[in-house]
Amino acid sequence: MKKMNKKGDYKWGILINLILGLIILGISLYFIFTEFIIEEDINYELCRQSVVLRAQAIDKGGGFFENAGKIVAEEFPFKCQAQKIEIDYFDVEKATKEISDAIATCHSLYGQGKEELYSADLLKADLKCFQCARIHFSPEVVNKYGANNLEVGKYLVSTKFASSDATYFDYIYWNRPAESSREELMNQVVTDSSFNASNGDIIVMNYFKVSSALGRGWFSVVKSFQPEIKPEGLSSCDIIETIPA
Amino acid sequence: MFKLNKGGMLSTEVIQIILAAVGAFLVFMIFYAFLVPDFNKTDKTSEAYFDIVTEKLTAAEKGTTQIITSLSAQEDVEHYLVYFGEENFLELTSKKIFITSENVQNQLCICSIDEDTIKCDYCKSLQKPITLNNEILPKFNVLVKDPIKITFENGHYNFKTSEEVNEEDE
Repeated sequence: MKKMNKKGDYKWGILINLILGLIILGISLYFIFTEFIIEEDINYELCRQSVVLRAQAIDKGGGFFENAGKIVAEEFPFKCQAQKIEIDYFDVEKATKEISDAIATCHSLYGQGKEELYSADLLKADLKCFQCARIHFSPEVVNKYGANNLEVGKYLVSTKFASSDATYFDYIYWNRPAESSREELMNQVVTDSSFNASNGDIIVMNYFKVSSALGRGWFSVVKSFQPEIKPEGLSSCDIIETIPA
Repeated sequence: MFKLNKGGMLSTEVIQIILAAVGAFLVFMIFYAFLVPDFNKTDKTSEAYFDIVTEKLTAAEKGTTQIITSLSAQEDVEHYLVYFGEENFLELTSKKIFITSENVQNQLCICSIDEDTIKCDYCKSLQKPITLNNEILPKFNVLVKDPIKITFENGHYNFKTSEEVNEEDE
């Protein structure tokens, strides 16, 4: 009888140790995921993977059934959510850089204009849109920005991107349509990308024009705008593929 | 308790194996939950709109005019801003009825309609009522498509739909 109790105690000892081990493991994993893995990073990676998968699938559709293969490849869904960027500080230069980085990230995320993401439309070429970011100014800082327009366009054309010699503009708009010259496009970007915080949120959108059988080929371009000033930035989209933020 | 092999309890090894299997399963589930996030587009869009509306209502309370714009365009999915002032249901058509689980006054919900389901999972109970185009209504719905202006004046929120805004402009 005594022997049996000892055996039972021993088993309970193992059981308690195992339970404690699992609890410690759970707490460690929770700590790792909450401290070192940020939800935004997971969202970005999930989106990137879905874009790469889609581009690969579209790219592989070749031969006699090329377009049919591409249509099937469109079944690979995009798993992308826009990012909300909160500007709750008053620093014109920092805010301008943050918006410019969001535009560059958007260009990178959807394949830098090198990846075809849709099969060709037969007649009318749809405009597919991917909202990358919504830049929101906290009510406390809106008045502080006041007359200080955020000259994002000027920043894009004049600032070197990362450690390269190219500017943000060169990186983002390298694949501009042949009919518009570099200078024309630069002027347009400077004019279009000047924002006032009092005009509401800024949307960073990647536009993907699908190629049509009768028209031109596909292209993609990133633009930023304030819907309160330019509602057509949203209404021109045939479909918005991303989840808003 | 446990059964012995020779007297009524399970052997230590069997317990260890069972616990190890349970532990491995739990670890797998934790990793799976974190690394393969659920991606329900309709639900996530509703959640995002809910966050946006909450943000805009708070900002409107401070005296600024806020605008909600449609930031999604999915095929076969519609999102609605639904105000349940006095009742917790609203009939859009005889077959499309929005219902909230809570039966409290002044609830604002983001409801979605897709091919299969009608959902109102994201709701906020408000301290103040909402009027639509300055009209007091017991309940109403607005399709999130065209811009909706939100203001806060005289102790209540007012939602102005774009048709109303256009009429005023004219």
